Amino acid sequence: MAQNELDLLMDLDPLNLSAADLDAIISYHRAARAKRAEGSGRAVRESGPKVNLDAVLKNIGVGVKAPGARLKRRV
Amino acid sequence: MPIQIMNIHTQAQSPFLPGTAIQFAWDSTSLGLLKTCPRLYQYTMIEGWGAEGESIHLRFGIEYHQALQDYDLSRAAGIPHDDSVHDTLRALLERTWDAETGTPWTVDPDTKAGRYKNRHSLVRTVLDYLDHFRDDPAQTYIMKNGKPAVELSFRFELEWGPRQEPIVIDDDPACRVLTPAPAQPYLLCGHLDRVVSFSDDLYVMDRKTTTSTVSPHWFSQWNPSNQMTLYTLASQVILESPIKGVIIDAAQILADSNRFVRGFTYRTPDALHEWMEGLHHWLRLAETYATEGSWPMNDTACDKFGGCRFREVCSKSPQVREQFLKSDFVKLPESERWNPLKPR
Repeated sequence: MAQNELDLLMDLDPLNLSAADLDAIISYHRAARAKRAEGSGRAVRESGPKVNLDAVLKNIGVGVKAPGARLKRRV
Repeated sequence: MPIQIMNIHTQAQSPFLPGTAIQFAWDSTSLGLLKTCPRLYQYTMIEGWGAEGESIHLRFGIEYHQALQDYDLSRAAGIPHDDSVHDTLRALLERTWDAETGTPWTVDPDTKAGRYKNRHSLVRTVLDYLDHFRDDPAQTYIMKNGKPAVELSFRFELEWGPRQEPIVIDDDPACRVLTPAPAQPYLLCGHLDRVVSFSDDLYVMDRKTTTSTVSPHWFSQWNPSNQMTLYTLASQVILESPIKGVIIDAAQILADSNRFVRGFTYRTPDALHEWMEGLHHWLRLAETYATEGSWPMNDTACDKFGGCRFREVCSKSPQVREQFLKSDFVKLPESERWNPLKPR
């Protein structure tokens, strides 16, 4: 069932809703929930390999400097 | 602490002593207002200022609780999950339908409240909750009278009441001053969603809906908590059994989904005793405010809970506050004001 079909059912007088209509509303929400859960699972699986930050910075010409000598406080 | 359970009246009487601003019947909401800010209590409880139009949060909460109550009663009667869900949602759709206009309950989708809390998300949230806790180890407690402990209204007397005006007997040579015994004791009232048995202990179960992120920080607001301590105390009075605390089932309402998190908050007998001692002081303070006709502003509480609804009013000069109250709020008729004695 599509979203607009759900909207149509929800806009009907509930006294005119058949048991099948109510089942359709329930099924829609359960299916949507399952789809969201599946989507969030896929997102985790498709997160891909970790980025080698050093290599990326080297490729775009940004060198990573070694930390300089610590500043000495002068009174 | 002798306390007595009273019969629930069917009609709402005033929670105030006749002809005074002294409230004798208290629930967690009105007590919470007083504790948060006496001025907030004055505007809401004493003067009855309220927002014009229906509160989306209030309606959503009422329907959510009613639906879960319907389901709990159905399950306690032995009806299977799917049939109970079916009946619960049908009743919910009917309650949120205006038969006179032939239209469903609608909210302004351009407001944040309306975007998250509307008829669609209400149906979705109820269904998601019921499916999420389908095999819940927390089971509705069956009371000694054989009835399921669902949506329990309570009302009990305390052993003290509002102070009465002292009587001075002029013709007495010692000019005795008598303080008569209070005719009206204080009452504590409220409604418990459900009492459950969980891991061999009894708990009150309270369901909350929120659009905030439900985190340990969110749960920390419930201890200390006026509401949860009163619920623990009241449940012990009603059931005459030790209650460990409150299970809070939080439903975080997102734009197109929900997230459910269960939390526990415990109260020891000493904590309950301390709360009752504090209550004595708070109610005496409320009497003083009412007698003097002055409820001071707690200007450190204005930003609590997303900002007080009267903040704008209180920020104005006292001489013009009444005008701002009248322009931004309506004085609700007695029947629509918050009343701890109103039956559900």
